[in-house]
Amino acid sequence: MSDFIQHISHAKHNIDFLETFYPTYKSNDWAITVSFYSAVHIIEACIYKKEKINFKGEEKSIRHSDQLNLSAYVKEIKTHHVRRNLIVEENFKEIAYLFSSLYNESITARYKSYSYEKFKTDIIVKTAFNEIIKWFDKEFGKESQIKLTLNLK
Amino acid sequence: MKNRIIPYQNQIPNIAEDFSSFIPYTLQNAFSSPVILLENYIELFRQKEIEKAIEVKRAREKGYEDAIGRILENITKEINDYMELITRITDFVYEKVTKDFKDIKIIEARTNLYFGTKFIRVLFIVETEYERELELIKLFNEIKSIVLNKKNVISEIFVLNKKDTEIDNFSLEADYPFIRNFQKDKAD
Repeated sequence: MSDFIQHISHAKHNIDFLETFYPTYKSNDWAITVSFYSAVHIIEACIYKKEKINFKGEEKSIRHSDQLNLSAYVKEIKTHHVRRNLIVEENFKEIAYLFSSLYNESITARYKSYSYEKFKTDIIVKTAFNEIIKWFDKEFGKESQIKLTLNLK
Repeated sequence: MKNRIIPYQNQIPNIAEDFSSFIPYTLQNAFSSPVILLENYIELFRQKEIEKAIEVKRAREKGYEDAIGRILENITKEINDYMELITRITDFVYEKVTKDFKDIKIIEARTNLYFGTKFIRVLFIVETEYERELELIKLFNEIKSIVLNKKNVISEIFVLNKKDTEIDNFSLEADYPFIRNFQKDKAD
């Protein structure tokens, strides 16, 4: 299981990659995919840092979303994203809809043949993903003296 | 046609008597030998055991029938509850969006059914400006939270915007084969 630093390093690595090709708008589907997986690492870093999260109002001691036990609610979960989304929606409400929009695109991209217009890509990456980065810097970055930035010219 | 049973009518009571007196007759004769008496008691006991076993079997079968009936009843209720919840989610979204988000047009809601897991996944096909999708996602998050807290059901609700996009219907139908077409409902 990765720790806080490892998750953030992975997020930074993905952001560096995103910055290299984003301005061309030639791979908008990949821009959205890379943004989503960067956000996943940011969220996992925050879960690790928090140590305790709330689920349905109850406090749970976990350090990764996979540790959230949902067997009382659903017999089988085909995707681990479900656990993470539930944690985000209850614990990181400020960015929940932004993270959900990234997840939404990762799920629905195949139905539009991975084709994204420039304007739509900007909404997802420059707005939604960038807001998640700013939120991280404000809520977790200062304490851990780590700053994430997204430079898309 | 001649009724064939008439010639035998007088004999029927005798045959019946023979059958009714069969066991006492056997027991009376059995007194002649303790071994035969014991054997007859064993036979009687065995007969009783067989009768009891048949009764138990019947009761058990009835029990199974009752249990199966109850299981089927529960399954039917779970399926109905599950379907009702999906319908209520789609109805609520449609009514809310029609009333409060007039610039968002909902074309249809699609779903797949996961009766075994009780997991809900609904995809709304809409037509709107890209920036309005975020408002829908906020609404969906609120609905998912209510469904989890009030109904203990985990759900995912997605939006797919048709605006300037060619939809891959083959993939869509494979993942979400069940459709609720609101535009058709409205026309009807």
